[in-house]
Amino acid sequence: MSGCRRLLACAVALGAALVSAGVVSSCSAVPADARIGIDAPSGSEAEFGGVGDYLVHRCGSLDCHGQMSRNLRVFGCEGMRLDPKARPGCALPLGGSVTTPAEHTATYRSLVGLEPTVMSQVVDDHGAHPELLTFVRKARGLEAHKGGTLITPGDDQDVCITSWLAGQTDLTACGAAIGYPMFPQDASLE
Amino acid sequence: MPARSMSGGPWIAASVLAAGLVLAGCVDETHELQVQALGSEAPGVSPGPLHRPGQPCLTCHGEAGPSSHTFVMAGTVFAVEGESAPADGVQVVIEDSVGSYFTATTNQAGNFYITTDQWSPTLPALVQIAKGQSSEQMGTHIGRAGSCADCHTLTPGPTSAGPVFLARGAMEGGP
Repeated sequence: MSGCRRLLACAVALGAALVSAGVVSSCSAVPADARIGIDAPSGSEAEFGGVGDYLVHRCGSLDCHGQMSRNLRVFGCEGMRLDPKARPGCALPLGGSVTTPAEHTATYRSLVGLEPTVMSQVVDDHGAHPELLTFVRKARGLEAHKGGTLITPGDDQDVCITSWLAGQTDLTACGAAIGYPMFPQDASLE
Repeated sequence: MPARSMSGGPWIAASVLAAGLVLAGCVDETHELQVQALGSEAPGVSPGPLHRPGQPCLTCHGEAGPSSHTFVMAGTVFAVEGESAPADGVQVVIEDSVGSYFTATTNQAGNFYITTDQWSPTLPALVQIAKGQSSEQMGTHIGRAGSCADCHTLTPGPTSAGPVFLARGAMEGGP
């Protein structure tokens, strides 16, 4: 019996040593500057610029996502400015200035950083399931959203976003998406 | 079997205490702080349609109170950009996303307000202000805020277009 006990004790000690060694080696194997990566869609001005312009128009007003207090922060001339000296407004004669590439980048970083692992999954699937992303579900009204339902699957706004997620931004759709929200034609103030 | 004697006093006291704790837990401290941050009434101005021009009206006149007069939209229009004189008699025309209109008119303090009983807009909405030959159209739509001053704070900055005004300053030319 005592032999069996010794054997068991040896086995337990060996297992503990292996586990400890594994833990130590896995810890020491992670470089100090390691980062969790995101497989994100392109953030280039060519691919994201049109998406950024649409987002600031539709989502980025100062009373919505044009605020630093929001998780999704949208920057641009129709809302919050990145440059502390800049003012909201796109019209140059009125003291405004057009949305800058730096503002597009700031919006991009906020957007892709919301759910990095989900974003990676969506991108890895070539945008096949954009609804996995909370911001898409909220915009489509599939999840509680203070701003309500903003887009319908297949409309220009939706195509703008989903085509970007799929890696082939439909700039025509993004341009047309600026026409939203639509107000009754006969009652428009413009 | 004798009836059980149970005095109601301690139970009532405990219930009141529990209810008090629940109510205390429901107090929105953030909202309380927002109300307090608005400060006291200006000297000589009583609470009413002429008070607190330029402040975010719905902080107090929203669903959370403390005012019992609930607004859906409200704000202040100033006469000239960069100046503090109010613009009275200005028509504030608001169109919502289903084509419903409401027109309010500013009073002596430049204030206008629309109560929840008067209108229930479907946001987003567009806004235009006009008086005589002068008019201004807001460049963006209202997404969700009912107070103009939520975005149009008195000091312009990267997150504020500054106060709402009817005419641009003389240096920049009129509208």
